[in-house]
Amino acid sequence: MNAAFRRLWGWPLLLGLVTAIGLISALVGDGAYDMLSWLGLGMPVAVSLWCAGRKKPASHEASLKRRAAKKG
Amino acid sequence: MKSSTIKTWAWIHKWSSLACTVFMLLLCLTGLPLIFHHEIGHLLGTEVEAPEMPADTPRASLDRVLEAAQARQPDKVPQFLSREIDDDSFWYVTFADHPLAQGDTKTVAVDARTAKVLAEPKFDEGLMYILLKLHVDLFANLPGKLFLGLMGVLLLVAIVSGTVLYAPFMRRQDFGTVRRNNSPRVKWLDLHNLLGIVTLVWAMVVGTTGVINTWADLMLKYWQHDQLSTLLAPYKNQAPPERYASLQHSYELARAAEPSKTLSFIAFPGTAFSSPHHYAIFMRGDTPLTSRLIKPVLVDAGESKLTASVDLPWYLTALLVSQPLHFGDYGGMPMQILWALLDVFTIIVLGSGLYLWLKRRQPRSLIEEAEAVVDFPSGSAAAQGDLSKESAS
Repeated sequence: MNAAFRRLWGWPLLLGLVTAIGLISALVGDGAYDMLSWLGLGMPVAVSLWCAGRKKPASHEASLKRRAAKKG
Repeated sequence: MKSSTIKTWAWIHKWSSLACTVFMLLLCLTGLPLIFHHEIGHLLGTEVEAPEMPADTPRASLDRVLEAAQARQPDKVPQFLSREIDDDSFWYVTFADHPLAQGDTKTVAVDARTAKVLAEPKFDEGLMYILLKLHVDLFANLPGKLFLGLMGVLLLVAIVSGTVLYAPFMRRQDFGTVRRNNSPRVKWLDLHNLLGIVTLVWAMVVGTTGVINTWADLMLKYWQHDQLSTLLAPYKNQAPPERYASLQHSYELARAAEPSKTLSFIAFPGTAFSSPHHYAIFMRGDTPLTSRLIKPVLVDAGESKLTASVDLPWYLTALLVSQPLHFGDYGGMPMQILWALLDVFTIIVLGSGLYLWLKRRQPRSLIEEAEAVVDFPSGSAAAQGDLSKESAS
């Protein structure tokens, strides 16, 4: 997996996997399985709210600039 | 990604979305309160509640339960005897003018311990009923279901094509970027991409299981034609029994045939779920997964004799497992709340998609404005101009 692929699809793949675990675990059992499913479905919700809610998005250009500033 | 490839996927995404968006908005909006239908019913006082009694209070005979319910509906025939999945303190007995009738059913709730009538809940009126009918079949029965199923298939196409388009639009951005300093179009595109990709797996699962649910009636009909007809061949030339044997005894036969299972519901003879000669007694397991998997036990309703315990075919198993994954009712209240939030996110994805389409005529194409990464063959400016026009139309 190269860096560009990871940067583009890393988070979507991780969130997809976590969602799938959340959907399945509550089908399998109760108690701890239910809690695992709340975590699994809660993570995409939390990530969305955090990304949509933060004031200044860390745009790629900005992070490049920051990195360049650190080097210089 | 090549500009011609993007054009093709953009075309698929545009038309599949446009065709289904209005119906998907309707499904998301009506589905939202349906996630909490039990809680809402509780608040409205329409939920049946049986008095508290010790858990080991002996159960009344099902014959007495049926008798008590029938006394409230003397002119109708019983179709089903059922209960809530998480409450065995009372039974619902459903009546209609004819065993096969689908509409105009009456329900009587009977205490499972005392065989006293608790309530006659009305499941076919009120706001929740209207929302449910809009959600399930647009008040158009089977054609309505199949139409919504088709819209669901288009939604799945829109989700897949949208995921493909995520790549060129997000190649230059970090995950979760929402650019607010540019145009509102770019902001809503970023939100569309963010919420779309984050809800991807959930939306695919809820969409697919919803589509499967629209085929439930057809699957049942096919099952009856395919398997039950073979099983019931010996009864072909017999008249249906004039008097039905003891329901309680038939239920005990079914319990003896499937000792590790508990009762889900009973279909009386002549309904869509049974045969004219049989009680179909549907037994279920009691783990979260197996409680969805029901196994019909056919008991001869004339002689109260076990005919067969039937394994459900794979397509009905798929249907039954797909139902909780559509309803979100299998992981307690926190899951229902998360289900509702994911539903709201989907509404935002649909709404922002519609907004982006309405705002498509702008001096600059969205691809340009959002700095999507497109490979143009030979890098010609003319090719870029073509694409801009195409994606704007």
